[in-house]
Amino acid sequence: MSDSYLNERSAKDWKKSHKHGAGEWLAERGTSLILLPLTLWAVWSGYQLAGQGVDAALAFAKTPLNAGLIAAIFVVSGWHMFMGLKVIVDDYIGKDGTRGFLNLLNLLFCLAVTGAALYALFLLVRS
Amino acid sequence: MVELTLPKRSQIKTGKRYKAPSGAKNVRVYKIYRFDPETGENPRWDKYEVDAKAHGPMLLDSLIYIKNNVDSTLSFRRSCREGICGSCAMNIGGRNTLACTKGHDEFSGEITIAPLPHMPVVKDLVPDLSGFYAQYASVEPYLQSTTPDPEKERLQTPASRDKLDGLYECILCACCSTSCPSYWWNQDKYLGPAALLQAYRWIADSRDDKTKQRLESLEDPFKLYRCHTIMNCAQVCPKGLNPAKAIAEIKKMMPNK
Repeated sequence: MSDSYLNERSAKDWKKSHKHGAGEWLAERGTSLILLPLTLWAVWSGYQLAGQGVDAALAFAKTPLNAGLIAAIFVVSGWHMFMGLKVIVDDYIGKDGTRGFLNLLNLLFCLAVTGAALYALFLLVRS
Repeated sequence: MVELTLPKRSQIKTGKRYKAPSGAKNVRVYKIYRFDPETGENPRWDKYEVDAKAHGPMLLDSLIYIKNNVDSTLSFRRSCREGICGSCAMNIGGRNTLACTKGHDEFSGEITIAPLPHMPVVKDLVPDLSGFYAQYASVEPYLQSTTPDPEKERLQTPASRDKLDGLYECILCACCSTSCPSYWWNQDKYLGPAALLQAYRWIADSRDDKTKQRLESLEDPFKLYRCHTIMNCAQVCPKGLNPAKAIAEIKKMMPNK
């Protein structure tokens, strides 16, 4: 008889639940939906600005509405990226400690990228 | 979880070749996975040359013929031989299916037969399904009602009954779960398509009163949400069921439970 680590988990063990997951699932889909119009807007805006030079692009970004939408893209993309990478880590990393550590790194990385993007936008708007 | 190296003694070696008897006309070659943990040897591929006219049309007939006439040490599960019991589920030609409903004439050339993938092997084509059954048992696959038992059967409308079509037919062969990459990597945490299809079969049943508790018990990042709609489960199900759809229905119900 082969060894089976699966035998270690009885039906009773399998009944235990972490009582979360639906929120994350909704957030993944919610951020995807929000990013759809935002991405289309960004592509459309980029197309409109093509060939108009740096000054036109700066003026575009300084408009409060545009700055707000760009900031929203950064925040929602960063959140969506964190959740996407977390799914990959959760799928492929079996050891709890390693998985937790990589998810912490993932969170810090996504926060750093989003923070850097927002800071750059802030500097741009203030210039 | 994902393993980047093969476990000890898991590399498959080349095994024996059993020649067809002289005079055999319609010879088919079966390349069959062999493993006996008691010998301490690596698994191997044995090849059996068999006269297809000597046995029935299905691959289970081929396996029974080999066991009875060529190599009695070959182990595999079988029972009903008509696609009802799910015992003879195995990986044939790279796809999980039932040996009793798959004809050998559906394949050309050598036919590869292996146990259901990513499961511990008891011997040859017999996988250890203990974990699979524990997962199934955990979804409490039976009617739970808060109302007293009626004198006769519990009635439901034809529309409510229709919701169970495509769910109750599952024969627990494990073809779906063992074809799912998410189940391969996380079968110690993810319930898998078969157990979740059965969970939804009772969630969708109008006679069952434990829907909220059933959903609460499933709300877990690993037990349920490892399903990424890869759809292998629906592709291989020998009964034509769609476990991925059932899982999607559970996910849709979860936020409103």
